[in-house]
Amino acid sequence: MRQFVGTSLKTRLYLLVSLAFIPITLLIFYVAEEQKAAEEEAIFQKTMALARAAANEEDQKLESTRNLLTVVAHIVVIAEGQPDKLSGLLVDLSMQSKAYESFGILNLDGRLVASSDPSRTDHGYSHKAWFSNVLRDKKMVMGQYHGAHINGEPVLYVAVPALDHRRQIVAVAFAALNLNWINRTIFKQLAELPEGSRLTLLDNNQGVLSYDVDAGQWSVPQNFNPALRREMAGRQSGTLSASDENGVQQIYAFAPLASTFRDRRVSIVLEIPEELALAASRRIFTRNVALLVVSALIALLSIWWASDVFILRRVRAMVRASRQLAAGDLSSRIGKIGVRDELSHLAGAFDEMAASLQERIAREAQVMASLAQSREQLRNLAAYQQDVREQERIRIAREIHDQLGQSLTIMSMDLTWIKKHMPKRSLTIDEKISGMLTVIDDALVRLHTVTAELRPVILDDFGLAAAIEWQVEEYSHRIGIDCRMVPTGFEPELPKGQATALFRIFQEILTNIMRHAQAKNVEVKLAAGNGDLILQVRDDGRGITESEVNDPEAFGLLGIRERLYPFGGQVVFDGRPGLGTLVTVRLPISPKGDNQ
Amino acid sequence: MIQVVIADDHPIVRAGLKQIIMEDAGITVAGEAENGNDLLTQVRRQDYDVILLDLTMPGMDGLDVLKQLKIEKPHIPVVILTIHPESQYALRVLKAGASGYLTKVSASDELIRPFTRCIAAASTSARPWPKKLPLP
Repeated sequence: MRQFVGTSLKTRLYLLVSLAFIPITLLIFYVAEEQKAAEEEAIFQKTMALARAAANEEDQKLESTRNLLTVVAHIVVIAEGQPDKLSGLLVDLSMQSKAYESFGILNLDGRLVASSDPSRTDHGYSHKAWFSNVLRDKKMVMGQYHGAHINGEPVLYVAVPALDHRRQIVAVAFAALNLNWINRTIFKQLAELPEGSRLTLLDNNQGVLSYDVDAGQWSVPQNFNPALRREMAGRQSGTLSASDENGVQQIYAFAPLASTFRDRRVSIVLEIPEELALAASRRIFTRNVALLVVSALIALLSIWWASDVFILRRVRAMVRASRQLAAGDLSSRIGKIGVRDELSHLAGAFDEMAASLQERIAREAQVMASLAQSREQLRNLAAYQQDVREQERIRIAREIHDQLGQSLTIMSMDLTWIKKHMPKRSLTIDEKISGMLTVIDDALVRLHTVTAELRPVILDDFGLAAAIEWQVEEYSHRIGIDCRMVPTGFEPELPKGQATALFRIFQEILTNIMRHAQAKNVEVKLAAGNGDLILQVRDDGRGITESEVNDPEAFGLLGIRERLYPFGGQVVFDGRPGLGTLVTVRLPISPKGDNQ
Repeated sequence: MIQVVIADDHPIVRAGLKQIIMEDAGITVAGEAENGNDLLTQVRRQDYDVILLDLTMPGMDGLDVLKQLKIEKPHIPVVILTIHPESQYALRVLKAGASGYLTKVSASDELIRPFTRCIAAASTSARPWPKKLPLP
């Protein structure tokens, strides 16, 4: 079936039907051949029958002719010396039967001494082969089947010797048998043969005599195909097909004409034009072929129509629906596609599958939308909580600064003033005041540290770059890791929300380095590139691993990503084992309307 | 006599500062303001020799006030008085145009010296106020 790969279903159906017609076609040709053979056999049988009939008739005629001539011969012996007086008898005999064209009595010189035809008395017969044969064989002899005509009629000479009591030939009696008369029965049958048929008698001595059915006459053909003659001589009886002297295809049926009076074999050949002889089989063959062609056409048209209606149209509908489904149109259905059969069941199954798929996808989309909404809500909540926390930090820092800070400042100023204007210098009081001033100073430093941790005022007053620089110094000072900033001169003016987010991200990165990196040096770079703000923090620690980056419980990293999300920012953690980590934060500089 | 205007939202702080300043015979507190707008109004009305400015005040942002002062009265030195001791903060303030920087903790001891320095520098040079001042 490999050869069918790539061809359409319709083509394959056509091929299958064509295959089914092959045995029918072979059968038609077989039947035609059988028919032809039967017809040839019928012709042969007819030829055989003709041969038998001709032989019988010839035998009868020759028998009666021999008897008649034997009587004549005896009369010739009786009428010794006066055979010419027998002419009257011969005339009477000739008148009695139309089978005889003439009778005659020849002397030993071959001269006619008595004849049924007085006008032929001086005719010499010494050159005739049958005359010589009679003198030699002293028995009945027949002439050949050609060359002899009397009054335009083909004749066959039959001669009998007139023997005296010493068995010496004294004369020869002969009769000329009218071939057209003795074969009348055959001719009647020949008349029933198709036009153009011909009967030919062949003897072993190259003698040929043909009877033209149409003309109703015997004639000597100009030439008879020698190859055919040899073929027939070799097989004695049978049929064969060959062209005649005019190039017309003929069927030749031949059989031996077995006459008991003939010492040499004669073949009777029936020749019928093949076109007419096989007309019936050809007609049947033509009709069968026509029927076959019509049947094939009807079958192919039926397949064309039926395959289109019952298969292809429905398959196309299924393919169309499948492609639409594959392209994402989940509402695509095949629907009703005609009669309830296997294809219809398949279409139904497809529609059920598509409906199920659509329902499932819809459910999944609903779940996904719900999840996305939930995630967005969580993000908003987280952002809101961060914002609240940030606002709270600002408020607490400001409160501490404005209230506690100012109060301590005033106390410090006043104590300084008191210390300076005490009327009577007292060492104890002086020391006490100095101690109080130290306590107040420490409290202010502590207060400042707390407010800076809550919310570095430098971020609000001078922006991200200043705050990062401050944080770098603070980090080095407080944590003990050498942290330095690469000077770029880049000082972005960001909305407060973005600045806060980036600063908190930066603090988170530094916290992670402190906790996990085992680094000794940290380098910070704030720059701009390709429309983005780029914050890079590089350390020389152990290097963050892929699993740590993707750890779902790494809430610090998750917080960094979530803080960047509202602003369309990205963060990349690039850890090299033993070489450190480079954290790159990118944030589109164009503000997204966030002015928090 | 050096005429100083003090801008701070806390009256007690202003009083304390005034007390410290007035002890110096060559300096007088010629004006007081409790917020940025008040200060700008006073400065537009009267010329002072030095402005003592607290950056953390309600209303107008202290840095904006400083920038506005440098636009309108670039010749008047502004000394920033703040609670934040960070060097980065000081650097940014000076970069923004301030002539001096003092933390409030050290104000009691070191307030007068910058004033006299500022005035001395202003009187001997036509150049902008020197940025580099001793930090607390």
